[in-house]
Amino acid sequence: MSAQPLLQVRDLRVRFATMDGQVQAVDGVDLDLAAGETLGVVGESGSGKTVTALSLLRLIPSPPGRIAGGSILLDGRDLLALPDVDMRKVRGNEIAMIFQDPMTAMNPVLRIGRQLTEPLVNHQGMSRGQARARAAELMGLVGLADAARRLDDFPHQFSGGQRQRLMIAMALACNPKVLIADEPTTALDVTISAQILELMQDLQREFQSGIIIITHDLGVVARTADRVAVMYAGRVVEQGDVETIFARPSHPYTWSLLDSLPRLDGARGERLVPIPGSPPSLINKPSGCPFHPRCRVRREVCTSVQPPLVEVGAGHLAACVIGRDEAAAERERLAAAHADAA
Amino acid sequence: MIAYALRRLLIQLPILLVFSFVMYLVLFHAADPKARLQQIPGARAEDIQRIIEQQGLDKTWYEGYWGWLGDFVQGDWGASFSNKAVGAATLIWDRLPATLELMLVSLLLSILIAAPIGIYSALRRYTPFDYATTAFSYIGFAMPTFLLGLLLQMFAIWSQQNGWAVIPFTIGLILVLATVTTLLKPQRSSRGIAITAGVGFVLIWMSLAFWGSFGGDGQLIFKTAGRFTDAANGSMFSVDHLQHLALPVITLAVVNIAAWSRYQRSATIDVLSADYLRTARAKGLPERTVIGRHALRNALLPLITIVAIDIGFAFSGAVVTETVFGWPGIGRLLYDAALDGDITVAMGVIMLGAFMIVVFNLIADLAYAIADPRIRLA
Ligand SMILES: Nc1ncnc2c1ncn2[C@@H]1O[C@H](COP(=O)(O)OP(=O)(O)OP(=O)(O)O)[C@@H](O)[C@H]1O
Ligand SMILES: [Mg+2]
Repeated sequence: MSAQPLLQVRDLRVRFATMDGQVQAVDGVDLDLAAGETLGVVGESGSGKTVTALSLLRLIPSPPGRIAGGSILLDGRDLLALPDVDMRKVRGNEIAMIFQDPMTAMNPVLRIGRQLTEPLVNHQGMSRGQARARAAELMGLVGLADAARRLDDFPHQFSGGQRQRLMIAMALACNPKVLIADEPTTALDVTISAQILELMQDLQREFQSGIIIITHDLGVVARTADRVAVMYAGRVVEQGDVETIFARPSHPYTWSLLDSLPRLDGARGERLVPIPGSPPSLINKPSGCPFHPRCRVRREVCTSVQPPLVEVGAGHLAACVIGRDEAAAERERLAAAHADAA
Repeated sequence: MIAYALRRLLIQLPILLVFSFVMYLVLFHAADPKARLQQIPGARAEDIQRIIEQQGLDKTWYEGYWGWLGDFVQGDWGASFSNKAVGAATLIWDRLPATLELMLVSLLLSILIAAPIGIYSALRRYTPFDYATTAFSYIGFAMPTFLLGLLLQMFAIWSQQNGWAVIPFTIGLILVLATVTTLLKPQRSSRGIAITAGVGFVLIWMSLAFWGSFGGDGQLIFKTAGRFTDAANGSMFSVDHLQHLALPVITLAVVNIAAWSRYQRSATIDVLSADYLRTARAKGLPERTVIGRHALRNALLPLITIVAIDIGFAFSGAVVTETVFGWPGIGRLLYDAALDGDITVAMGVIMLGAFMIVVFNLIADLAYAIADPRIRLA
């Protein structure tokens, strides 16, 4: 980390009370985000990515959810300590969010103009007329033609890609410091998805927002992120520059994940090595390191001690008892063994 | 849209035709007017024979149906058996305003009560209010209409003997009962329960204190039969009329309120977990805007359909209420016609009811299409 972080999350914990017991959806997450930086958050389904994102806006549905601890500092101000009224001024104004499914994220019975102008009227005290003019501008900015006329259309009159553009316009309306995009392209086809990601990067250069992009697509991360946080079972298990994470991953979960997916550069005709087992229950988590039941290089201590996230290189953090160099060696050995077996 | 509406109605015509045929067949065999003539005391055989020939009572069912259908299509809907001077259409037409009034008033009342109850219990789910309204709607839904009507008539007689105080007394009793139903579920202590019970007890206590001081001298507070005391000079806007109107309206409204408030509750709960509400909150909108602007419109949409469809059915469902309260509408007319074996009048009312169901089903679709921008009818 070079700059003073814009957003600093420490030891964030979120619980859900369910019929089967307490779900520890987020269990001690640390994240940092600098202005103008893009942080990619990756992890399997259910690892707590969305819950983490919603916590930043304090939008965890409650009941059943509850932010049980930690701190979220935005420019040094703890959002978890803010009164509700002040938190509302943060939402959509300083931190904005783009949701996964653009088909359901917009109100079907309200005109686009209304939905686009809402944050402007709400946060910037614009008149309806001013807000409409600005909304048309924003629509142009995200590449939607004929904005002035289409302001009176309803969401169903737009395609999926167009709707995601509208969501971006809505999120950028107040020029937020932090933009959270929760799987912004999962529901879109490949070409449209690439356009949307490009658009987000262009706008980031213009607005200097910090972006958190949540995805389980490592390709998206490689293309857009400056830094990466890898989540497993409600925890960040590794964090570092995107080059470092792809070139020298340290945590067994991270490199197992990389080895289980086809490489972007299609190098060396490598064989894919799937991760054995399935993600753990978040109600009765395994003792010690939550990854140990699936880990192929686990040690004695892993079953009893949960390793903290520690520095393993410059700006590179990992939560594993195995060091970075040892991890690299283990990874080589396993890949070779797998190649022999096949 | 107009073309769509016409097409929809035309499609239903064969169904209505088949329906009328089946109904005629049923009525023809059930009514048996010839047997009725035999029962008239002292009637001579040749007189009976003359009447049968005059009125065409010896027609077979297919001759009868064909004749009825001709009359129906021509617009006078056939002559009434019991009142030959006028056609069935005229009889029905005269009775229609009474039924329309009863229905409209009870519908309006039902919507105005059911929608807020449903929305509020969805917003305050699993609170005492929610449990209490749930309990009451189950009771309201399970109660047969005639039983409710009879209970209300007993209430009217009771109010006649004891005066106006019985009304606050009953309201107080319902409030107290409502708090009791909420206690069946383990609850954290709630200010709502305390206030409701408190208001209930105060109402009961006040009404007991003034028991019999207002009225109670045999004057009827609620009138249990008819539409006006003086049918010839009755005014729609008189107190007398309201006194007649109150109980049948309540009878009809209770079932609607019970059903619609439940329906509105679940529709609202569906909407409350919608993604677009999360979007609205993520914009930093205050909760009342999130609910008022984003949730309510979507939550009220489905009720439009239910209400419109139920209006159609209410037309044919008013028979019991109108009969219990002697309300001079078409429901009562149908009841009387059925007793008299007056096939043409009964057929007229039944076909009107069937037509209303068809029309209001169509209206349900049209209204939904107007209210929901996603739907375009073609
Ligand atoms: N409203 C809720 N009630 C109970 N549990 C919940 C709720 N929301 C989330 N969870 C739990 O929290 C955990 C994390 O969920 P989250 O949605 O953050 O996963 P995710 O990483 O975003 O996964 P995906 O990639 O599928 O979107 C899951 O195990 C989920 O069951
Ligand atoms: Mg998610």
